Amino acid sequence: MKKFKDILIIGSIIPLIKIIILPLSVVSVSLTFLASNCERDTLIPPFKETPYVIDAPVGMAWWPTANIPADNPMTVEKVTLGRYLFYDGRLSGRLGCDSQMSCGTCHLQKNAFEVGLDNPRFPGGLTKGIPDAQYPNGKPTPHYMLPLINLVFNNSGYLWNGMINKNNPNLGSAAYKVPAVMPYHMKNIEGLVWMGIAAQHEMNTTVEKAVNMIRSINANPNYHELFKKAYGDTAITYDRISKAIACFIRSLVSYNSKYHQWIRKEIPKLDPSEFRGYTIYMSERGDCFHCHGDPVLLTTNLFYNNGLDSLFNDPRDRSGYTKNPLDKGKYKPTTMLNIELTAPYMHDGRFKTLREVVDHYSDNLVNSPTIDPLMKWIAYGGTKLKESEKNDLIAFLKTLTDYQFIAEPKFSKPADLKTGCE
Amino acid sequence: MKAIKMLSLPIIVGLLFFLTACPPPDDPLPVTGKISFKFEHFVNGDTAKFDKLIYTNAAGNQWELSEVQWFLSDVTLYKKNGDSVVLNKWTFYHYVDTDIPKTFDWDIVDKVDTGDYEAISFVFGFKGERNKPYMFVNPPENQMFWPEYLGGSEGGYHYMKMNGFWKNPQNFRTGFNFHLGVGQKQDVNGERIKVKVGNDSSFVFVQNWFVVKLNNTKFNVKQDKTKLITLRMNIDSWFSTPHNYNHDIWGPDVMENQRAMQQIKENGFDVFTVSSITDK
Repeated sequence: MKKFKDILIIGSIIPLIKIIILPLSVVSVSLTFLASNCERDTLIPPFKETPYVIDAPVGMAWWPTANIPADNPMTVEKVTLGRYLFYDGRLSGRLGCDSQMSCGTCHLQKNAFEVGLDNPRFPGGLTKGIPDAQYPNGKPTPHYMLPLINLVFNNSGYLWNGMINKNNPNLGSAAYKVPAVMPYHMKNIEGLVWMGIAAQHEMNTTVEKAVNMIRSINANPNYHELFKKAYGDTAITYDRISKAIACFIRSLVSYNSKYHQWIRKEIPKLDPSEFRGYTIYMSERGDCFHCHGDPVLLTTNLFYNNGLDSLFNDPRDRSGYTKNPLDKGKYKPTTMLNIELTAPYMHDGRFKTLREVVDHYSDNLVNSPTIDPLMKWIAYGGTKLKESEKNDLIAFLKTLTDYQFIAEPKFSKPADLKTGCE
Repeated sequence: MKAIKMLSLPIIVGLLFFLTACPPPDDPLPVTGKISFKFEHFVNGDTAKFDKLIYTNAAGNQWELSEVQWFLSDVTLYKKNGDSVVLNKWTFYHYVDTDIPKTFDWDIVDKVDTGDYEAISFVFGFKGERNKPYMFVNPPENQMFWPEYLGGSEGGYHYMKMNGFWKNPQNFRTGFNFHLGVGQKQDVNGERIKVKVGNDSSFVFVQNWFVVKLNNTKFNVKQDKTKLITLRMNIDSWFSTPHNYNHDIWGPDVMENQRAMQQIKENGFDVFTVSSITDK
């Protein structure tokens, strides 16, 4: 019996080698190979994005749905990259300090990302493009600018005429020198960025120049590293540039004005004059609220003819986009948030002070066939506020200034950004 | 022993019956259909025409329609036997906007028991407890915002905005905002009345929502079918019956004029008709 067992064992060795040991060896070698590969992979950290949470106070559940396109989710890395690009004058494709222009050249944080009357480059607030042979002093922008505040919550269209909106099927814009090919859509803030870079009355550069300039920058900041963190590799493209800047612009959320703190019951009351102004604003007496009433955004983002003119020749009013003659003279009402900081006012910057604006709605409305029915005191030239009411209304408007927003470090120019013109 | 044997057979047979019998049937699934609404806006018996100064109201004002935006809520169906069902399980309101055609159709998600129905009702606007400030965060509904200063904590949104123009006594085409929402209690001089609340004082508000009941609206809901009810707002009726609403008297705006809003409310009772009920 023992012999039989020995024979059996000895006789089984060869097939055992074939059946078990050989494959095991192959597996073992493979595993070793794989293990070494895994080890190598661990040396390269996998691409990791950090979702960006839009800043908003706890318990303030009044925000509209954020307007964030599916192909450009907000991440911390893209917002960070976008902040550098927003403030980098070399994005204009130029190195000369007298010609560099960034988004931040015109959109000053201290003016709630509006140009302001005191802009060092554009005193008075009329912005101009970088000069060229055709416009040696720079082509003036067709409209005065709108502030970059809470744009992430605008679902009704950007610019004074709402041309950039989710339903716009157009690619590119000949008027703004944006190529009419993918991905240059005119649907969202990314489209605004493309316009800002390419338009003759803004940075007045080309796609290629802007991209090549950013590609050439390896220090302060190292854009290759920033793009790698934001997108997983170092490729620098125009599409990625616009997406990162759009993410930064979407992060510019303002919610800490005195008025906001009051309606959140964080402060007990407004000053008496401010409160009287609030009752004028929020009643038919001043009737500001029908166009600027939304408690968070302080604009409807719709379009109105607010009685500025009787004749219309602006190709960029609302009718310029809709082609509907009934939209002549219509524009978007700007947010009232930080309105104290965002002079000059109206699409053509005709008013320099809040008092001039209040005087317009009180006494100086101009009739026209497309005047909005909300301008219902047009027969009297306006709401006819008393002097004291005007002062109270302006006192209230100043409660809409968000001092924390305009001093927020994360929205400011990065300290380590060096463009050679500091 | 014999008795045990005699008993065991029926017990076993009984057990077998018990164990093999079909389970008692569940309650039968309710047999249901659905309701959809279509909204239309008419003036003087014809489809409303916008942005044209072509109408004359019962008070003799020449007027022009720019837009109508309004809410209805808590749609209720009444059965023959007097039972009623409120269709508010999924959403209790609908917003209609003449500038947004897609708002003219409303497919109610709630299922409706099959059978005969005799009448429909709805709340024009919102009941006070539903009309909370800041409850709408997105357009277009949030653009119906009614300031808390004018409506209090139960008056967050306009029930209706109807905007247009009329020719005033000076023959000047000027805007009107025929808006309805929560009003403010006022004294004979039109001053707002305040009441003491603890150490503070508070305005007194007036709820102006009302129920529109469309009696003799007979229809039958069939299983798995949708009944399409076309609801018509007869806009000219806002200006007549029982009150001839005169823009020259009430002026361009009424949100702080409860007497005017009371007239609007009372004129609203007969503004709606059902123009058709069909199978969808």
